[in-house]
Amino acid sequence: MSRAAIDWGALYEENYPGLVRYLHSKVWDADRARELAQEVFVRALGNRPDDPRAWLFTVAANLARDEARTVVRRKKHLALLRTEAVSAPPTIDPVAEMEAEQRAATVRRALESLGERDREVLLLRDAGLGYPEIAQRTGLAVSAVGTTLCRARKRLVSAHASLEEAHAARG
Amino acid sequence: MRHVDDGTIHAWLDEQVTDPLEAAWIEEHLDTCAACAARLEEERATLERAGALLGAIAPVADTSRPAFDALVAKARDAAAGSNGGADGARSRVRRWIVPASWAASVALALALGWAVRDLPPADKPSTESQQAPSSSVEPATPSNAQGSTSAVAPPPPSGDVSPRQAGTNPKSTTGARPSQPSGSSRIAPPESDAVQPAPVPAPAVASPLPAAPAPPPPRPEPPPPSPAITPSDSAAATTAPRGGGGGGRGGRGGGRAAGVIGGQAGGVPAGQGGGFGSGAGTGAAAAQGRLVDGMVVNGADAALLRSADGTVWQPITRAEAAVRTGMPLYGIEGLTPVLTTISADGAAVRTVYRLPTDALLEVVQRRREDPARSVTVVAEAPVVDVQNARVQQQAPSVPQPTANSVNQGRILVPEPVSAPLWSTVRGDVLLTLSGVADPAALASRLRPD
Repeated sequence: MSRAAIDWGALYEENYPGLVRYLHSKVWDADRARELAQEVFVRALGNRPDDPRAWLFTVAANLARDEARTVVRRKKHLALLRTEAVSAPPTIDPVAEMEAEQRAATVRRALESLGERDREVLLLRDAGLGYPEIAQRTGLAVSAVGTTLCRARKRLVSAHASLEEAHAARG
Repeated sequence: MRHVDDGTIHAWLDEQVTDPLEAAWIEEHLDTCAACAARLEEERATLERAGALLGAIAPVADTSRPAFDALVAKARDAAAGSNGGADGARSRVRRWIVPASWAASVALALALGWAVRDLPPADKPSTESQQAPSSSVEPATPSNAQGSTSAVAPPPPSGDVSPRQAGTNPKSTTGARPSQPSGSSRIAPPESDAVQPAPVPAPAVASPLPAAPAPPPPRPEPPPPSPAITPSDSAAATTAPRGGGGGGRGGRGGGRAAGVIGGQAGGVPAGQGGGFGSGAGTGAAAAQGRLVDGMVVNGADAALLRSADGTVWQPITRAEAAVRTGMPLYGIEGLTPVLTTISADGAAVRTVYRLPTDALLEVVQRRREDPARSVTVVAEAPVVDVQNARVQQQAPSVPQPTANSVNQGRILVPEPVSAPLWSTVRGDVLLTLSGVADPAALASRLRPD
């Protein structure tokens, strides 16, 4: 993909949700994930990489890695841009909200129980990256991405089931 | 039969099988192979379950996505800031100003510490200031010396003169006549073995001799009062009323001894009176730089064979001079005599040295065996406050001089007119140095031939 042919607007529309999901699974903070996603795109617009999707997720991973060390400084440089739409209304059912939070916490624990490579492949695929991009990002062979992804998915489901069973056993 | 592996099934489910032939083969196989078809459903369920789990942790659908144009503007601002814009420049300066300030502060502190390290302590006098008195003694004026029989004899450093040798010679004390009672104003300095230097209107110059040994520092404890040597015929002077202070500031053996010696001896005002036991009437001549009875009291700028007073000295070899006078000849260590002469009466030997500064140094020596010319010893003389040139009277009872006392005392010389004199006793030999600004500095270099 040549630099001149990249439609950055379309790229943004297409990849922003996946980037937010990816970053959210790294920092576990939706707002922060959005801030970082915007920062990634700002940087991409400044650098205009030839392979933008891989570049976006690479930068996102680096930002997420540095997040813990640079929270204070990062907040000075990042500003959540003014939104054009109204945020979704908050959940009015506290019980449902609590159950949702509980489910999310269990999934998060299951995801964190995976190995680094499995988790990364899983998250990248969940963010919308294709196998070649995942291979490029993780260093795997393209033919190995499917196998790794299959294993990661099974492990995630298995881990979550174990956590659910343990939670059910505790009552 | 070849089956489809789990990875390929996930790739096929994810629509990531890019090869059309392989995709066609997988689709055909899954249709014909029951086992693979079952596994396909199993993997599909896993995939969907995993997707559902990941969707559960996904953030709320982002309907607040910022406009792309806003991102572009932000990217443009960021690029401007990093490419040398004013804000970027300020940011870069601000980023470096704090560490640079700290570094400068630390460097400044280190530099100051290093500089202060080389400075002497504030309460420690410098070497110059310690030596200053010897070369900056103010001459006594007739006004403050006249009528004063008080003598201020500052204690010279212990190494300035070495009359200890003289102290061992009883001969030198046998002729010494006891001085007047302690009521006299003669003052014995605390240094017992030093010969009183003459008051010197010396210019503030250093010793002309190179590598002259520095005098040792003053002794910390003041020694007991020691007798002073005064002219034997200065009885009149001792009876004269004491003037105010008389003495000056005492330096390193070069303190002013204004009016010390028989300030009124022979009726001559203090500072002009005859010294060294010269009879009355000779003080004036001595003060004018003449040889008084063969003794030079002012030898500045003396000619090689003629003193300033016109006295003609006879050239003589040193060996012959020693034989004729019967006393060892003393010289200045490190200097070669230019000329050695002897007085007409054969009692004094005068050695002339030419210093590197082209100044002429005279060393006149004579035996101090004539009681008439011997000095008077004052055992318990007033103690001198050298710093303030004040004279304090000591106990009225004055012990008689002992055999050594004369050698431990000081020979008080009259106020010089133009050049300083420095006298010292070595054994029974009285040595007088003159012609240089600070003859005291050379006294320690006196050595017998």
